[in-house]
Amino acid sequence: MRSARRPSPQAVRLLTALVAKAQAWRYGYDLSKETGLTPGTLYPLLARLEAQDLLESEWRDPELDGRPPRHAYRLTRAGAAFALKWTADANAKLSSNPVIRPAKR
Amino acid sequence: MTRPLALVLGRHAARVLYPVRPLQAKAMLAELDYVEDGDSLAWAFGCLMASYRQRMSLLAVGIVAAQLCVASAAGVFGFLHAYVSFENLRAKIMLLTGLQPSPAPGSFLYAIDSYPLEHWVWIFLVFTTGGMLHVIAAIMMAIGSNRKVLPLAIVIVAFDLVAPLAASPHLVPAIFPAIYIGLITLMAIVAAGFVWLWRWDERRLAGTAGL
Repeated sequence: MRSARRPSPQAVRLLTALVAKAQAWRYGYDLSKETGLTPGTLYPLLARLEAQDLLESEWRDPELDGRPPRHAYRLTRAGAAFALKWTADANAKLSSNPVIRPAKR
Repeated sequence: MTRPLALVLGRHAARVLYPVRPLQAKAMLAELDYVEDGDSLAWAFGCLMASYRQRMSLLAVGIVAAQLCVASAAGVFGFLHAYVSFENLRAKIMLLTGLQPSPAPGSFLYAIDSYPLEHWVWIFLVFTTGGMLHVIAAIMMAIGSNRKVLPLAIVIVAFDLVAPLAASPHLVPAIFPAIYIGLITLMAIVAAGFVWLWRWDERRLAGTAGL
């Protein structure tokens, strides 16, 4: 069931990274580097978004032989709309209040 | 150097989380293979935090605490048996060689002197073996290997039943085995209970436990 609550700042950072390349499959390590979120925060967030049907995931074959398959994530259509809504809200809040500093990366 | 340690931590994290979130556990561990060497340890610690955070529950903490209490009691019980029987044997040897075990009350010395050396040697062997088996069972429980407590309990019960048959005539055959058999059986039942509770908690966190 989708949550109607405002997502946390960490979730907004994650959604911003995901919506920037909405059609692409993204990996956990890449998302972690881009958002600055540690696996301790990132993976529970990814699991929560997937449980809310905002994210889909799949195992992707490795590009090089001998490496294990990687779990990749991508926004669903509903997830993209959700991300656009809340990241737009976050950007609007930032630009209207110069005191609020953007999150560190 | 950091990569092997990161792998150890990553695998432990995956083992902790797997019963609750198997897909996430596998995903985190697979991703570790693609993390750069410099980031691998930080990544592995992050995975560990994620695993413990999602596996933690009040019941899990209670089970671990109770496990450690029972294991401590069993460990002290086993160690004391080995230690006291060793001290008795040492006192007997000292008395036989004309030395005075010190400090020792008169009643203790009388009791030691009343039985032959072979009695105390036998007591030492039986109590140390039984005591060490209890210590091993305690260690298994303390590290969470509760499933190994039952086979150990069976060994201890068998030992408690067989040992008195070959005992010195001064060994009391009826009471001692009954006490030890009772205690280790209780420990095995408690360990089995912990295993059941732990699995139930995992299923509850995974969203699959029935009421």
